[in-house]
Amino acid sequence: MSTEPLYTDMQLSAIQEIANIGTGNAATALAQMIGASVDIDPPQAEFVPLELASERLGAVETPVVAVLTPVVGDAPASILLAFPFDAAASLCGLLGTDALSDMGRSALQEIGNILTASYLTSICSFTGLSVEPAPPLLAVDMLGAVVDGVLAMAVADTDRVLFLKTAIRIEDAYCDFGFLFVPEAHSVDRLLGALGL
Amino acid sequence: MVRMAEQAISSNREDTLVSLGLGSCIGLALFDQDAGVAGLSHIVLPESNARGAGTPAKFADTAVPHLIDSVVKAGANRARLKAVLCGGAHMFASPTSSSSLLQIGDRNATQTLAALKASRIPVRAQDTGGSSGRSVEVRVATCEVFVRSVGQPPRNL
Repeated sequence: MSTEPLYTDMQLSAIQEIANIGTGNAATALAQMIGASVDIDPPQAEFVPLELASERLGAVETPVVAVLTPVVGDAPASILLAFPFDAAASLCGLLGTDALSDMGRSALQEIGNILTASYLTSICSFTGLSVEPAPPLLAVDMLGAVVDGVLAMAVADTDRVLFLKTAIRIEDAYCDFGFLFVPEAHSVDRLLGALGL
Repeated sequence: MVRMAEQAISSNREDTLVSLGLGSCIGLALFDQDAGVAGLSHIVLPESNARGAGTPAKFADTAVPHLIDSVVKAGANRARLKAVLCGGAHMFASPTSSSSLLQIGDRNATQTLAALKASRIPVRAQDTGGSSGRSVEVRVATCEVFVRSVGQPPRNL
């Protein structure tokens, strides 16, 4: 497996900057929806070898509520929100529902919708590319199991995957969850091309 | 520990080969119980389309022959080999979406079975599809294969 960098530091920081603006907008939208203050960590852009990818996100057998939003258009990608069980419970509690009920599930999907739509709006306005979210899907299972199909889509022609990951925190709810953007194989080049890099 | 696109082989009776958190991926175990040799592959995608040279275990069509060669080199008799496969789930159920993401699990299972058939390896047990992730453990000493899913007791395949 080759180990030379696929992209320059400048290209990675450009991608990281888009993600930074995107998650900033997403956090603002979420804060407005739930009426609580939302913090984000600066997103990290990282190329990870496939065999290390799952564990880089956390312990692979951790049970999570996962909301997957397929991104369609010029640069296909996946956006995955991974809520540890207690985070899903406290976020749903804040919205007056129960994480394991149908209502709780659709509340989490709606949060996926809002975060993803504002994130993608930033990407579109920054790059001029056209990308939009497909309806979000939900699964409750081990972290590794919900992420492996997403990774599979990104590694058809390469053995490394670009992760843009950040943590989102809702202070009043003691809720901390992962936001992961994984472009499909050719989408990274399209994003960079649109930026002229 | 066998991570995505990796394989492991052992003839040490003390060993257990493990893949954790299989979703749409396939865990493919091959063994010759008489020789005490077992192997486990963590397959990610169905077809290599000639891209499998560097990472044969990543694709079903290249993983199967690669795993067969490897267990035979470790002392297994090809004629006694048996297979167990698990994984290939549909993690995100959606009746409306036709995204290829949702079909990877099925295609992985189908392609793995086809490759086993082409190599004339009998399948001892199979636990594929559904919507639950799986962790798999292969005990080299007994050639037993245990599968676990969230909220369910382990199953011995």
